Amino acid sequence: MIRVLIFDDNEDRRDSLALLIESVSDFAVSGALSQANNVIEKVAILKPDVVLMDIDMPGTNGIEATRLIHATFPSLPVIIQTVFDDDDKIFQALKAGAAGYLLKNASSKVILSAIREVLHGGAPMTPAIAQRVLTFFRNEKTVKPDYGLTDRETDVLRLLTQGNSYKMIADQLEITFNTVNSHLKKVYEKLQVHSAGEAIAKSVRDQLF
Amino acid sequence: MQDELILQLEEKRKSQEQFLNIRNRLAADLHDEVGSTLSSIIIYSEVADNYVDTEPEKTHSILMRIRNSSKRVIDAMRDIVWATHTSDNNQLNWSLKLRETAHSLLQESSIEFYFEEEVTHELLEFLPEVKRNLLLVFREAISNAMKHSKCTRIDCRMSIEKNRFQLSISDNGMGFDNSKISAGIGLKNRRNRMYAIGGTLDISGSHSGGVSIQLNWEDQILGPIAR
Repeated sequence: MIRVLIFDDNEDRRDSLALLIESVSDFAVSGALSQANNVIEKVAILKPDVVLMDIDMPGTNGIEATRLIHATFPSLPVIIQTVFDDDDKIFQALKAGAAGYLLKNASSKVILSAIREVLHGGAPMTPAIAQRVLTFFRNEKTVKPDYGLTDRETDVLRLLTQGNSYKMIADQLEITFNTVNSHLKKVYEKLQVHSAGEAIAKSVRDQLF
Repeated sequence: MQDELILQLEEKRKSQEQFLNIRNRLAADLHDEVGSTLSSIIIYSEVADNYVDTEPEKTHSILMRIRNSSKRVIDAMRDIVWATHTSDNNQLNWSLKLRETAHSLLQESSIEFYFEEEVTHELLEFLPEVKRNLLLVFREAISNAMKHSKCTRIDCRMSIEKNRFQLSISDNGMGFDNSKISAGIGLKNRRNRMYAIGGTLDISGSHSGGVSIQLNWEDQILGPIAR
């Protein structure tokens, strides 16, 4: 028996979901609640296998509730639902630990298969949302911090990150050891670091190259 | 002189921004509420479709829910349109809207509704959000009395004074224990709705004398932006 806990402040939505879930022989409603305040206590008492979570509720909202559930019951899957196809909220919900995401216009068939899917480790999403999440990550990756390095300073930092010594950098760029040194001094200043090691760590972390 | 102009422009920009925020919030609210209720009609229909050949009684009860949900969507949209319409915000408009709302909620019950009004001043122009929240809380008060109090009559009194708008709704139902009032989620939400617009909600009940709800809204915080 799959026990489903519903959070939604809209009474019709709650009622219709409960009716749908009770209409399937191996599903049961463990609770249908209008708000997610004290969500951990509620989950502990109602012991669901899956949570269906609305985003916009008075009091604790669905994203915060998901974060709390995920922190205390990491293996309990939460499926987020909302009428808004809002990139930012979708992303926040997934970062908060939601296992899947459905828009409220999903048919009952899609809702039921989403519940089965999360229990088998899947991540149900409508194709449009999956596309948006991918786009989000793609955009995320291309945003590199701009430290205002000159072309020469960038060359020096790149060679340093590739494992070259000061001497090797000087040879490759056909400049003197001292010039390398003064370029690096500026690089450290701009990156706000104090050593070659830190500069390398920062440029790798920020995916500068 | 110049400073004054800049200040005026700045104020105008701020109040425009405020209006835009309110409009956006109302639109999001409507989208959420109407969208959620409509989505439930999809689910109801699909579940009813599964029962239609084998369980006529269940099917019938689901069809009734579809009907009620549809009615709620219509009500929600009418309320929002009414709240955003600022041109005809006057006493007559308010008393018509309240009576019409109560009538529509109570039409299938045998509960009688009495409406009284006392107006000593022109009604201030409310922000759409103030109108909407007042109406929502009123709607919930009537609908709760109908569902839970077993009353036979509901009395509503609207009073408009200089800076104050008051609504009191009382029923002659079975009342409730005052000590248990705070537990209700619905009540908390209604209180929050009133706080959000700078108003208050008082509720009192007893085992014998029904429930009485007072909504107070005073124009003190909003002042000049209330128009």
